[in-house]
Amino acid sequence: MALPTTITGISTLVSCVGPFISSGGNVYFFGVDGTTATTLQAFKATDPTSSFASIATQGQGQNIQGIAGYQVSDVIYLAMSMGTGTSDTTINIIYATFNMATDAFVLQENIQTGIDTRTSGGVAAYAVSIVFRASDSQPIVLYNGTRVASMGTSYARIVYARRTGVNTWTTNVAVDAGGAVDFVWPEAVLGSSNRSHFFFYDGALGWTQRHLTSANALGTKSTFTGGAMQGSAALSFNSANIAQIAPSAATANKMRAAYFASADNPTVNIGGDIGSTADTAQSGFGGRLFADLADLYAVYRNTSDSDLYVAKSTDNGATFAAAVSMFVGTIAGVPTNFSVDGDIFTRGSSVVIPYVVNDNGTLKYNEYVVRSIAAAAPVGGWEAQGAAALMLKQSAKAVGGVPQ
Amino acid sequence: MPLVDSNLASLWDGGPSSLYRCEIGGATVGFARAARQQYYGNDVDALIAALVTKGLTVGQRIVLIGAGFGWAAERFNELGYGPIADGTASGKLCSVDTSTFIQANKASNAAVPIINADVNAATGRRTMRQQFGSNSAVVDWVISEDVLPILTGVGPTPGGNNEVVPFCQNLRSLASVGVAHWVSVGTASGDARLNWKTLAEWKAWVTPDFVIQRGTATVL
Repeated sequence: MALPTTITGISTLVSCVGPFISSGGNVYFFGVDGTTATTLQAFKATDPTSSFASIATQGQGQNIQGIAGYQVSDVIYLAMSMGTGTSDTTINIIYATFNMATDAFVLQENIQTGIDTRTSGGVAAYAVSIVFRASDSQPIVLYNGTRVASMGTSYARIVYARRTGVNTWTTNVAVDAGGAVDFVWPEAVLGSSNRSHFFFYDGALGWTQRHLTSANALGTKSTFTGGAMQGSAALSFNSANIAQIAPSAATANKMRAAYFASADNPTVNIGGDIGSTADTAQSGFGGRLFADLADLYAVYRNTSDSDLYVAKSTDNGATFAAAVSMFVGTIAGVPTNFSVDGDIFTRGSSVVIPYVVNDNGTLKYNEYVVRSIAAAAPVGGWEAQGAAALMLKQSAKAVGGVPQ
Repeated sequence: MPLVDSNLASLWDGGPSSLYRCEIGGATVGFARAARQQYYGNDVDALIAALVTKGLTVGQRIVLIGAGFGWAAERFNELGYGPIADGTASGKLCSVDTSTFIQANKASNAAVPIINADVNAATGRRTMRQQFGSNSAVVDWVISEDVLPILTGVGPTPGGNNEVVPFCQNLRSLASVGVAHWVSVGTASGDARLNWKTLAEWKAWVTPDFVIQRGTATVL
């Protein structure tokens, strides 16, 4: 069979999470059931070039509106936002885990329930993001918390929650600056020294970064660029370099990367435009970043042909080489049309960017081959060698166990 | 009569009718010092930056009308626009609020004096001048803090019986350099009791005063 692989049974309204590869070499992703919007589906493929199938579900109390994931070995840590739609005032934030070794969901806990996250424009904010901090085995979830009313107008807020024990969370810890401003699009990544870096969009000042130390001290906020709200993606790579992709403040319809080495109150650098000058519009989609050791890859949609392109940076995001075609299709310009939180992995003899994309209403799994590796199969085959031999994960992840 | 009675505790206490409400540590908090960052954030810095573009300089005398617990004045002072007015000619910053709720709760929420004086009365304006040393002390800037949304005044342009125009005239009679209105603008989630207009509509109402939007600090 050949890629891409068509996916059925998953909603196109919410970004899929993943794909992830297990120590057993199987590929997984998570999405909202195509029929029952309250059901989270885990899809698995032993051969992703052939087919994916549902192998586990988890029911939720409300419609799933946003999902985020973070892989640590065979465990996927998930955060979800639930609600009835754009004007919902009673949103739930949920935590769950899935074990790829047993093909089963393990945990489901409420982080916060019944919160009103709407912006001053009255639109519910559903974005969530999650990391797992190895130093104290605590998942940290960044999300839109309870909004703040100031002089009769309410504004969206970015907060974090931290799991301190079984079904126990510190919640609603303010991360943003406050004031008569909407803060949206939370994105968390784990840096060096178990430091978390939080990204969010400040409606007055633009994209903002703030770190949280392993001792839970919040650092100083730094705003580094402007741009329209289109979602963002960030990741940690190559010994905790951090990069985030966002619309450029300098060039209309272009993406740029913000990048820095993980540190307390880091100086955030802004890279050059991503893509060629012929890419006249990248709007409406948001970008994604992937890393293959020290090489950073930016994925974006070109509005002129509705195709996907990928551009490579070898200097942490400062500059990107000319983009090349990654997927030819009809990709509508909405951020949910491309999977989130997936990682580059090695499958067979190829290092690939794996993704699930909505191509004109049809979900497809596909891979972009970053490079090939030449390695002879060990005695007994790859399977006999376990995770270390089979799976080469390129971006930094902590090592953790199955959560209790 | 203003659209809401700012004397009522229910307008400030974080309850269902409150204009100010946030959650801290699992508890709902109204207009209290603990929530100052939640309500003001970096907005005052942005306000000052906008005023500087319109001529505000360190050393000028500033009166803040509808100042609540004076949190904006604290930030002005931190950024060098003080000292706080003390009844002598050396003072530069005076916070004014007539709300009985504010006056009754300022001891535990304010770090600067909050003067109870009505800018719509000659005696009130005289009281403000006295904070700077004399009945004839010069006030350079008068800045209203989200007062416009509680005043009557219908439509995108001035007209009819309203409280906005006389209020602005009284502010101008006190200011020798400029008048600015720091204002939250109309949004989909704005409290239905208040007077919401776009920034451009407010500008039409208060010209020649400046209007500066809360949050973004857009200035017209």
